[in-house]
Amino acid sequence: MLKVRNLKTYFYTQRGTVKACDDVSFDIDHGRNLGLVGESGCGKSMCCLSLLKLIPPEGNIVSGEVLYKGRDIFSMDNKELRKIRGNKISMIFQEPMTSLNPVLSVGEQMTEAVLAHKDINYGEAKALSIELLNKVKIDRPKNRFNEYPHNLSGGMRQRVMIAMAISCRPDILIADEPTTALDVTIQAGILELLDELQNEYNMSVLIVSHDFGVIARLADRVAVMYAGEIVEYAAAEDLFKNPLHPYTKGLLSSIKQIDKRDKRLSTLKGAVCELDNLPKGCRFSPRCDLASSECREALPGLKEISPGHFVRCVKSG
Amino acid sequence: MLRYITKRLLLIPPMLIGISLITLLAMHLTPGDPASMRYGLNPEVSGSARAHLKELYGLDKPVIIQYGGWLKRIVTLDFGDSFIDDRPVIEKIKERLPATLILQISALILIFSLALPIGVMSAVKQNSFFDKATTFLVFIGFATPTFWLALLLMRFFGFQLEWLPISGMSPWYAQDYSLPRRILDLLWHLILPLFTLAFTGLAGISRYTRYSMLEVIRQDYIRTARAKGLKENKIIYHHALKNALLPVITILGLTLPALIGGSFIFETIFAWPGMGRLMYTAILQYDYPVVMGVGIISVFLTLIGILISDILYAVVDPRIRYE
Repeated sequence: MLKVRNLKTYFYTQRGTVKACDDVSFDIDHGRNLGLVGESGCGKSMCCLSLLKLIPPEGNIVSGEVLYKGRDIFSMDNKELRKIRGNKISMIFQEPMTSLNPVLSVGEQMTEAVLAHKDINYGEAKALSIELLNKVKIDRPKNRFNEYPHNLSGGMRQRVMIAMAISCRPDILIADEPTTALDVTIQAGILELLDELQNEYNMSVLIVSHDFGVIARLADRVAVMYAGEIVEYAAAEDLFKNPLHPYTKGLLSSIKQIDKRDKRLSTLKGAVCELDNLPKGCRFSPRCDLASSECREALPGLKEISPGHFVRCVKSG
Repeated sequence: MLRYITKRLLLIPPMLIGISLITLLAMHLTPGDPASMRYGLNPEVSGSARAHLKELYGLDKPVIIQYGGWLKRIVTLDFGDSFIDDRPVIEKIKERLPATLILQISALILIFSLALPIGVMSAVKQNSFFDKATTFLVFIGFATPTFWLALLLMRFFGFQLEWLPISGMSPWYAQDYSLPRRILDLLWHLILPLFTLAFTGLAGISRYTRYSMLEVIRQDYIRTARAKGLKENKIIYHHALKNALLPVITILGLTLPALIGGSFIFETIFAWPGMGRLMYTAILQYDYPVVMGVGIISVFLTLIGILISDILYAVVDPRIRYE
């Protein structure tokens, strides 16, 4: 349903070009969830924002296309783009505390989202909003409708964001680190809610996280991102059972396993390379145990090792 | 909300007392007094006559007693009579207050209706030609001394082109005009002072709006509004501006004192019969009751103005309403 092809989003800064997304391609199928995983600063968020052309003004979508039902979002004019945003493809963000407008009531922010796309009157929009607040399990939805964001906790604000995002029954919900800023107990509730809604509305969720736990909970397919590139792309089960890229392996082994109590928590050495100062050759090579001189020279492409399992590594396959 | 307003209303009396006390003390600290002002250079007025005059006005008592007397009268809204022409102070103020209010309120409306769109537009199109041009223009206005601009405009439009009146609010013969004609005449007289005030006052509000908007349009909730598929105009003028107005309202509160007190220099240059000129003359003549009266009315109106800006603040920002 959504095909992203060769997306390149660059930021031109005084220090140089920051390649936040470099030649990123993936598909989101109808009713299936895609997980996008990677360390902080690897370009996940910019990638998501690029899909709806929501990147900050300093950013540039250099090339690529995003095909929604065959139509390229990047070549749409503003009016067409508005019809997609919040209606066919909607989005929730990492920071529920700042994602709602502090001076507008919950009700106003919800109804305007519906009224922007649907041909209904205010009364109907209000009834729908209250029903949605109830659906995302906010208590006293009628009162909450008239309240302001500062009356709500972080978890509740994220629920309001979700209610708002699904109000037009979108085909795709982009959830950019939806639980990162929340307490662990609240995280579980939000993920459960997303799971339920995905089933009920039969939509696709693009779930973005640095946390494999979150990804594993929701995703059918997973794309692993490193330094602006997708380094591994496979069905979720396949990826967890049989990770092929050294980076994916490293990430998975750094998850603490309770049954291996005595073992030291393994970590990836080094830090994510700076996006404006990329190493020559494979971008992961400076941190990779397997790296050879070949890795530092060649730029590996994404290869299909087994059906539907793609890896960007010289050593694999 | 009611508690919020009551709290602010209760703050007004102590402020009035403080400010009026300081005004009286300042007057007494200046060299000279009303008696010597009137008869100081007249050798025929004896010392005892002068003392008698002082006694009559109550100026022989300690300052604090004088203040007490004034305060006692003021709570019954008795402002006393002028030392100079013995007319009631309240009447003198009544004559002057409308002129100041007409000029300053229309200037304020003009400034806001120009500065807000300028600020918003130059923030939305940051670093565009429009942004740079308006920045240049408002800073020229900011840096131009009001009196100097006033004199230039008077010379050009008043003397050379003879298009506009150079001073005053309405000529003596205007009282014979019909009402619409009088209003037109007033507007005609307003053009130069209004333009001068607006041009030199544009910078503050427009720059604050621009700065505040630049900050707001980078916020997460603006991105949320875009992600919802709202129209750009709605995002800028509803979602963003309502947030950006908060600091601007604070500035509004701070601008009000100058607004109601009028400006001595400005009103003197344009011979505008307002509070500023009344105060200026009264100070030169040691006319204590007038100085105190104008002072207290200005302060009172200013405090009311600040109260209005406080209430506006609460209207715009729900977080303050529930404080």
